[in-house]
Amino acid sequence: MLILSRKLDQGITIGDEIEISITKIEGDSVKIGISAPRSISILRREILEEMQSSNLAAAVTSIPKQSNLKSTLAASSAKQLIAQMRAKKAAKEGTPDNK
Amino acid sequence: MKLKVDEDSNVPEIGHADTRSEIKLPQGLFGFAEIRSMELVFDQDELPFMWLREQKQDGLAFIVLEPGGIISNYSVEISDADVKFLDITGPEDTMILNIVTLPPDQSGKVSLNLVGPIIVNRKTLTGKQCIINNHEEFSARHVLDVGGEGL
Repeated sequence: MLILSRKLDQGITIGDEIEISITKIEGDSVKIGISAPRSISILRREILEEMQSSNLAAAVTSIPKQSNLKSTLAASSAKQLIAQMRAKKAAKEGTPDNK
Repeated sequence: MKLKVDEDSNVPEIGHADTRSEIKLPQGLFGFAEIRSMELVFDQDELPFMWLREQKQDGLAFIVLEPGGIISNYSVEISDADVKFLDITGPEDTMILNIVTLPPDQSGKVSLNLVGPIIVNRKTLTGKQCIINNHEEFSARHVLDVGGEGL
């Protein structure tokens, strides 16, 4: 990794289109200004890390062969939601949902 | 692109209106960069919950749902780059899938990742997990409070 030392109001350019400037230094916090094309995604690293850990927590292993969520979705709130969605659909169609 | 999420946006049938569709994920998912495709499978009796899973034995699987009619006041702002990557034009050809985390015990509450939905182009069946531009308005661990979502 390239490590550069910068002072307040100094900057760094990356390629032709990306410019980074140090706009404020206060205690242990640094404000950084970034100019880049809109097509470039700029995110706080914590958000990416949160997405990774969220996906890891959500991943289900050893799923049943057929699409059968029933045992997996035994949590009461999940069951409630399925029931509500079904009731709503039935009400919309004006017929009991007998699929 | 800003997409409002309403009840009508809840249409699990995509592609050829099948209950099983292959979704291409050219960029993988966060934490699972090696994935390139998964199948979206649903059973009418289990909606709104659907499976997004690898097409191999003992593969990776997620439970996902479309937020329409379930999460009130949810909207997603998709970055220009993601709109271009997915080649989506509006709500008609866009499917939003939020990944569900089940509680470790059955009495607990289900949570949803509203920050990083998987956005799928319904026509090309290409998807990408996108961090929405308006992510600061929502939680990555939104607790599904079934009684309180205004259903």
